[in-house]
Amino acid sequence: MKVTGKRSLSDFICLMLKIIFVMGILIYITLPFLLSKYVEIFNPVLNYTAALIMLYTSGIPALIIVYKFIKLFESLTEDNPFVMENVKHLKVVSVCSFIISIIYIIGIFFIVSIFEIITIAIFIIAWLGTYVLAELLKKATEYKQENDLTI
Amino acid sequence: MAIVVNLDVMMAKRKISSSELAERIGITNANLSILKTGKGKAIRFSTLNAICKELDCTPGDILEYREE
Repeated sequence: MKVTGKRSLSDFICLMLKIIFVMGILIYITLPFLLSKYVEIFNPVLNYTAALIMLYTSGIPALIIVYKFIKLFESLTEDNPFVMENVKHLKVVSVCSFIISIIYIIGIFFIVSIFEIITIAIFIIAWLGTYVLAELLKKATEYKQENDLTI
Repeated sequence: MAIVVNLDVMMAKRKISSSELAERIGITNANLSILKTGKGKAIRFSTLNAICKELDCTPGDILEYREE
């Protein structure tokens, strides 16, 4: 199977991300209802208000991250990943990951669970990782431009 | 950059069109246009070699150093 280009792995991942994005929006809209059901059935001791505020605030950057990854994979499908736009996309993903980790760090004072700590760890790694990757992509884009302008 | 590409002058002297030269030296029209307009960042020796061969000139006829 091809990795980039039309009908390839990146095309498939792009489709998956689009489905996740739509589902994410649906979940975001129906959040109060879903969360009250979750509290009722699985976790009666959960602080409902705190959880709702946390999920609502971290939902926006999470959706932005998915949207930016859709854009990133679209450029891979078009076989043109080394553009400055993608550097910007990755930088935005990095900032969003940072915001989410901050929200969860604040949230740990209200809801204490192992998942909180795992989420914080993941998003701090994602924040630093995507920041470095954005710089890497920037360097690669500069090299590609240099190469394209060598006749 | 103080390096000026005088390719169009030499092409006019030899009375050769852009598309014809591009075809003869084996690069695309778009790339030759980048070279002529001075947008290029570097030129390969192989390209320079082909241009000099086709236009029957030396690199000095095409490239010039002009103090800024």
